[in-house]
Amino acid sequence: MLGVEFVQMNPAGGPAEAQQAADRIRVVREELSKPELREVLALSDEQQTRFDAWSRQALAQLATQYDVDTTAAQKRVSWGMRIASTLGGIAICAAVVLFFARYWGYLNTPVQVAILSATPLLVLAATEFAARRERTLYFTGLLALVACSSFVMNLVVLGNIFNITSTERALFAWGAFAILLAYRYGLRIPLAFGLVSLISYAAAAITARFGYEWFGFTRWPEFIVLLALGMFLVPLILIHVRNSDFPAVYRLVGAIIFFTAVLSLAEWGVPSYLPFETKTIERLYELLGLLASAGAIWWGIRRQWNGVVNTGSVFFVIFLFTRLYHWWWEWLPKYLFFAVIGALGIVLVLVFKRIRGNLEGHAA
Amino acid sequence: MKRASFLAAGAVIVLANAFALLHVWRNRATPLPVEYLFTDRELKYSYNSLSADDDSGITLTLSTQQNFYLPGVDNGVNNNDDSWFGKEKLQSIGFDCSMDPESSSGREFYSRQRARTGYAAFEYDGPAWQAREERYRKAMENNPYFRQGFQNDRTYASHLVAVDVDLDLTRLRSRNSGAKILILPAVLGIQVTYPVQEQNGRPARPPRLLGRIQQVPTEIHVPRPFSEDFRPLQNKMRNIGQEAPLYQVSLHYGAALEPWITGVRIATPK
Repeated sequence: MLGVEFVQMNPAGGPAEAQQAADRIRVVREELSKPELREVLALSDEQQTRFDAWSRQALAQLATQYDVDTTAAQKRVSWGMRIASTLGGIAICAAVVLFFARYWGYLNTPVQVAILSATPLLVLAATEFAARRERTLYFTGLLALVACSSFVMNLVVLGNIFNITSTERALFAWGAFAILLAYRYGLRIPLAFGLVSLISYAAAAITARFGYEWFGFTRWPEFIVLLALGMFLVPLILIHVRNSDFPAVYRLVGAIIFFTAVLSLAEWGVPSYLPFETKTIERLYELLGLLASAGAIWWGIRRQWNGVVNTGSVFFVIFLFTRLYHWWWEWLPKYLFFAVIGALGIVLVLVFKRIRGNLEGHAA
Repeated sequence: MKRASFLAAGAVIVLANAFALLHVWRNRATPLPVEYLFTDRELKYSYNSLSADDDSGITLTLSTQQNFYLPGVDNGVNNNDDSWFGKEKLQSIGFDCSMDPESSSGREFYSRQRARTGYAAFEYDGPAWQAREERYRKAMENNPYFRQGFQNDRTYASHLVAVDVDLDLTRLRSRNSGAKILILPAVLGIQVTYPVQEQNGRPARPPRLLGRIQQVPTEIHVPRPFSEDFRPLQNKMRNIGQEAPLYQVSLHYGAALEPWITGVRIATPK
């Protein structure tokens, strides 16, 4: 009955929430049509008719308002459209950049500048035009990607034309632009791009403020670790009423950047600000990686954050296996090393199975 | 209010472009009083990652020298003991040189010191270049094997040689001025040289501290109409020993030390 509540009580809820409500109604409809359920939950003809009428009306209302998928087949097609729109967007971005690269040398500087500045503005206008004409936002998402890449090309090539010494400030402009597009149209890919740009900008600005080369923020990634952790926690403070699928993007981007940066400090020999010997620092970050990834799995299960559970699991396995590699690769015969890894894999499966069993019991 | 975020996104594009163009205007409004005339040795046009069909832009690469290493002669060993970019200079630009580079943790201590942003002064075709040539000449006298390296160096090597660095532009300018000096923003690093074993009369030498100019802006865009003159020249090089340049480029630098091309002279093929 959440579907009706959602439509009537939360008209400002975003398309993601509307899709979840439609999925729940669809599943209930499908389950109620199965003979085995009818044996234990027999609806009278009148109740069945009222439920059918209500669920059809609720789905129709959601479909009218948000153009959600109301059948499993529609959902599969929508996934295909989403993938096609993303790949199409990336291909058009490449086409725009390569087309400009092919002809820009034959243009005078004022013409180059006019084209570079006008392109992202025109694509932005086209994005707005598309958003007003479709509710599913496939073309809007595609055009938003092209707008972001046009703006990146705009500032990069402007810098090349006038031999401007590179600074970190362009990252801020790209991040702000992508996040404005993401929140205006409810798009997750521009949001992810914007968040990565803003984390990079903040880390680069701090690095430059200390008198170091701004691009060095990638080689000394401790600022990034802190910023990514902050980004992971943003959705706890910033409540997304309208774009209910955005907190997952914040968490996923934050978690992937956090664990990659910690992994680089633990395993790839990148320098640290900590005043200890390199070996000690690497062991500390290895421990942090293991604890944080295990913590992410635990927290993700508790809060039902699938992306965090998956990311935590992947990095937990990476941290664990790299530690085992350091311990045993040199002195164990190779066949034995892989046998131990295999045995540990089986142990992990058993542990996860037990956790899953406990969760089932908890749910019961 | 419905359009606020759309207008804000447009404003970000407009403002970013406006700031970039204002920066360009401020750089070019106050050009440095020197006009540099560089040749194909200093401004190289040979490499393009995309084919000319895929990228029609023309870019020259500024080539510079750090005097303390001669390819061929030094064979990976830094032989120049009187390098100006040693411990004292490194300390003056803020590097902590308190640890003995020979100590067990010395190499790690210095490898963890981050490169700094500052400025580097390069001298064009001056005493620093002549000293470099002299080193090569002496090496060739002792061993004719270096003749080829010397010829290559004279034909192709840039005559822009690093002579000084500082974190402060004004201080660096006060020490280095004149028509032959080019000052560029630079990334300055520290390194520990590897020890040299005694061999064939060559004395052993312990590891020591040496500064390194890690990065200077090198890419210089060639605008129209000058770019058209360069199209036939892609991947063309001087012949060994050829003194006459393939081309000469007039370059101005502005207040932000960013260059722009003001003239190009292409040599007429004989």
